Amino acid sequence: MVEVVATDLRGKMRNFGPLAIVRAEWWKESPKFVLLRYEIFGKESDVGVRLDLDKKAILDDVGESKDLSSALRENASDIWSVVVREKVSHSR
Amino acid sequence: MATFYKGVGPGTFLYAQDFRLTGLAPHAPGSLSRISSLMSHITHGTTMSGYISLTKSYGVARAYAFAGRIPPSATSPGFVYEIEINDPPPAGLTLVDPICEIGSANVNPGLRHTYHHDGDQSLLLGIADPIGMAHHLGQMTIDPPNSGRTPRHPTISIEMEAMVRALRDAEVLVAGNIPTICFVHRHDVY
Repeated sequence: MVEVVATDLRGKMRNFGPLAIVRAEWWKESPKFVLLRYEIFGKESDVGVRLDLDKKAILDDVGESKDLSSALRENASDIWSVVVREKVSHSR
Repeated sequence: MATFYKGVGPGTFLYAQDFRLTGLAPHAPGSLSRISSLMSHITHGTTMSGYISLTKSYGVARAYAFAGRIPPSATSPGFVYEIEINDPPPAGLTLVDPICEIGSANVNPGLRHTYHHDGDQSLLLGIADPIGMAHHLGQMTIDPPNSGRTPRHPTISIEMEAMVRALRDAEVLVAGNIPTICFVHRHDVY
């Protein structure tokens, strides 16, 4: 079983319409990725979206919503900056 | 015959398929197999391409299998598929070594634009591990005395980035479909 490390992202980045990224999770077995947990209209999704830390890319879609998926992909670099800063400060 | 691996994280796009029963096709099977799309596939995480990424390293595939949309567990493990491909490969399947492809498209070092960098000898570490070794990417180029050049970061071409990433991940690309018969094992990881 992996040991999940998490950091709260509420209020640390902008929302994307009804979508708010609320938490980043990672575990040592897949060091190049972070799992972003998100809420839509305040309800957290059962699955997150993966952020590839090397490629600064969001790898997954947000449900069936092309608009929200595009919004995350287009802002992947900004999301990456926040996540890396929080991840680095969390590990200090 | 050679052995390759593919990691699939729980909850991801390909997770619901059992490749031993379905085989595996690229996301965009008809797309043009050009050197630019090959490099984009490796460096930008472009999934809508005509290539399938495999690795010759179980350890690399395992890391990808752990990267799911939920944390892997006994009830929802990640999968590492073990794939055997004959030489020559089955009809409709082409194995592509990205290093050879990119190298053979850049055979003339006399051109102005080549894959070479102008940083120091530690720059490759930063490209291979841009988070853990980020300080190597922040370096400035060292120019000859009195060159008068503007201080700047080293030039990192997409060619070099793609080659370093491909080497790091022991990556091999497949153009075409991988038939069911090639998938010989599926290992659970969690």
